[in-house]
Amino acid sequence: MSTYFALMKARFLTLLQYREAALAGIMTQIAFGLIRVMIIRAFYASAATPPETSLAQVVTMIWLGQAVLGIIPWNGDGEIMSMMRSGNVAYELARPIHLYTYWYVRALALRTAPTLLRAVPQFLIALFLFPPEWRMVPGSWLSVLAWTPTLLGAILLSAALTTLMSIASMWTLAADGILRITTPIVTLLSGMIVPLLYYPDWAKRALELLPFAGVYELPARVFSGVLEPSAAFGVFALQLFWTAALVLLGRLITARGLGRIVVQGG
Amino acid sequence: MDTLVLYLRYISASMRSQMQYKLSFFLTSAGYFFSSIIDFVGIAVLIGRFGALKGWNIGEIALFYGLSQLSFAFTESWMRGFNVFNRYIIDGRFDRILLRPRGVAMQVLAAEFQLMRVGRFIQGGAILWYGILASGIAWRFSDVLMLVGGLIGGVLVFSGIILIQATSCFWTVESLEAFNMFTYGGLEAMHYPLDIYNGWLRRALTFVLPLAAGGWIPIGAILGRVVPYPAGFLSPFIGLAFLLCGYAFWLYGLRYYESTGS
Repeated sequence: MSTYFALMKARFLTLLQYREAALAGIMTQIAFGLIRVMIIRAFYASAATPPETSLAQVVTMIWLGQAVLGIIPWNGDGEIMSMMRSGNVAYELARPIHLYTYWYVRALALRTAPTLLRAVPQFLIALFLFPPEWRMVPGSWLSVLAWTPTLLGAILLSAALTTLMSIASMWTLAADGILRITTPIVTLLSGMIVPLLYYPDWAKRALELLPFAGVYELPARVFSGVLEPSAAFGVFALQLFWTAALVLLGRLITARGLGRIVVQGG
Repeated sequence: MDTLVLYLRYISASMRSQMQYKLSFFLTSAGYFFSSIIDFVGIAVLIGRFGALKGWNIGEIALFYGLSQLSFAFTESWMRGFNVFNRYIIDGRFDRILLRPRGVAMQVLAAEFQLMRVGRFIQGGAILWYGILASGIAWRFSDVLMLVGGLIGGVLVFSGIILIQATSCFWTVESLEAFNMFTYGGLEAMHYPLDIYNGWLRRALTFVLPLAAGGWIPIGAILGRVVPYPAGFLSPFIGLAFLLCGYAFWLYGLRYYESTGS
């Protein structure tokens, strides 16, 4: 256990070094957030029937999404994928560690370190710097409290999805291409592009049960007060269920993939 | 003339090399297609839920969306070399370009021509076509001309932004992600008519970073809303002026470039 913890910590500290990239990322994410907020405000201003979710809640969800953008499992672990391509994965096989667990803790670091760098300043900006009706306004103190376990759940779940994406490169060298297809699907289904709230009811109910909703939309609803704080229990349970299922799936695929791996000598 | 022939030979070589990896090409193209169609799914969901946006119906918004996607796709394809210019500086490839007795900008342009964006082309074109049919415009010849002018204007402005982004690499190679704010952020803003935004953003996109030339100005004129009709023909000229400013900046940066020698 402590081995994996040390590996994760090392990776985490490495990723914390990319500070200039984080600064540029913050600027871009704030700009995108502003555009999104303007678009949604325009929709609300011209809505034929008033929507059940308040504008303040949706604006809050948008800013939260920009702040924790790095948690969304939009890519795999680049180093693992290039190891598959170059054959260096053979070194990994020689190590006395469980490969899936190693990759999973790396994914945990990948999802948290860059996000931590970006999220803190973005929270401060979104909470305090904008005019009142543009700000991030959490539902209540209780909402923020209830949101914290769902944030943890989102990270665990996202790392499981990330690891699955990295593993895909075991089966095809065209993993880049596969990722280009999965990335937009993941961002759409997680509610990043448009909150799942606005989908037609039948689609909404189905999408809420998929693992992707647990990565962003459901925690954001708890944070913004769209969902009651007590709903966090259900969200967390759903996140843990999907994490367990996807970890199991990932381990199975890894075992099968390693069974058929051929390392070229030389 | 000589330069043009050379440019065409360069890009045909680049295309042939990309077609060597057919599966990768196909998957990547499909990926671009998906990612841009999914954005439009988002818009369709919002319009389905809220109805028209400030009086703009989905057909009209499709015009804005399709035209901006299409001009961005053209720009990404032909400006690829400038778009990844930081790599040329980092690995010293740019020094080799400087040594050759041909125009510098032409060589960077010719170095890479990205076919992968074909997915965005198809998607942008399809949505533009849908907008052309669904917006209920009785298309006159001058309207079509204006739309084509808007496409050219959009390509020129986006190209100008990418040229400025590339030039900034002469001073720092870390700034690329910050420029995403202007390229991808600009593209996102252009998906909608500009009058839904606050005044400062509207003015910035008209007078500072004149992306309005690639959507708002020509389409607003065609639809007869807000923009006076003759102004719609200004697009390509605005675009050209902006690109020339970018080129002047590039020449300025080029004079100050010093290789690290590695």
